[in-house]
Amino acid sequence: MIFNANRKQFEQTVRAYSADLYRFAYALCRDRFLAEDLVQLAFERAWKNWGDLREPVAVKSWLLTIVRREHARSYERKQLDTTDDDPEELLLASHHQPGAQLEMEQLVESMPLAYREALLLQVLGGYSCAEIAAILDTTEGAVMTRLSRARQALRSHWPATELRRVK
Amino acid sequence: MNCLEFRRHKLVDPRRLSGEANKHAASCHTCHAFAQEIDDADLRFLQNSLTGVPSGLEERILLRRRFTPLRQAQRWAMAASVLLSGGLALTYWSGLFQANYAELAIQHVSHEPESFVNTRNDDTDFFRKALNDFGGQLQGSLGKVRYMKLCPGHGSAGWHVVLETPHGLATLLLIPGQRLQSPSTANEMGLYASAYSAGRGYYALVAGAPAAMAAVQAMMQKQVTWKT
Repeated sequence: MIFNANRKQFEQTVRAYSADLYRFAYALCRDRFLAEDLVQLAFERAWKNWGDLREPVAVKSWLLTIVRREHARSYERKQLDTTDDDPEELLLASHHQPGAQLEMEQLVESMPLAYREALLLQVLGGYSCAEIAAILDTTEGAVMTRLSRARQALRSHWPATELRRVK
Repeated sequence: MNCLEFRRHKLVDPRRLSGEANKHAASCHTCHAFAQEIDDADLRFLQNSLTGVPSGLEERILLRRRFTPLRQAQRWAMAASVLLSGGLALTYWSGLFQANYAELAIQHVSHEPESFVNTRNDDTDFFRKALNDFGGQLQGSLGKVRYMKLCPGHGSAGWHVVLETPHGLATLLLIPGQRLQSPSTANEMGLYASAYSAGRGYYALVAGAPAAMAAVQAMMQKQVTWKT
């Protein structure tokens, strides 16, 4: 009976969160096939440790943490770009503007992973700085810095904003 | 609060500004415009992040899980731990009875911001059936159903519904299996919520302003009759 309940709860979790996890994974790796693999792997790991889940309320952040770890693992031989350099020193594609959507795509892609994942967790996941720090296994101060710089980068390279300001 | 402080707060967490920060934005045109730009950029970023999800993803995950059952030893360990922690579980559940469900509703809504941007299962008949299954009968309109998603909770799953009402967007959570000792209210992160026992459990309403909250609750009382 316990296992049936676990299975049911797991299935409900898959149906509720797989889309969010896929979006998070895609935003991290920018590869649709890899994103699906990451989500599959994350749920596989989650199922293996389902019995250890103590707080059902925190299941989404737990799953996001697994996706992030799986993503890091898939690139473990590669140095992750967790720089805290100033965004103004970053090379952001702003000269080519075929459309606001593509512009944003390029901007997000060129943003350091450390900024991107913090911003995603806040904007897409709705998490507070403290919660993001726990998911990313870092300090709240570091998260605040990353969020602030990520938004500065968005603001200074988004043409629609520039247009509005001109108006 | 000065302009510099306001901007620092806005850049870090635009949706959790203090009352003092909001007051500053209302009185300072430059900061108000700055706040608008940040909100617009966040919205654009959110829209960009809402990538289309491959069809059948959920089924593929579940299919894969069926071929990786829990090991027998793990099962026994889990069963043993459940039995041994029975007393602790009772304490845990009794703690839950004292939880503020309106606060939990706000926290849940704040973790699902896409619910205000996306449309999903935007079907009134589907909503009517879900409400009926929960123990409520819809007598009239509660507004346009924009979003419905089954979210996991404490041992069960509840419906997360976003309604477009004349008073703005409002969230209705239908949580089965848990009765409230008394109605609860909460105000956090610029959101207002209230929770009431009804049907097979309790429902919670979340809105962006106290007036909207009261109006939606009045609509619920008028348009929904409960079987239990």
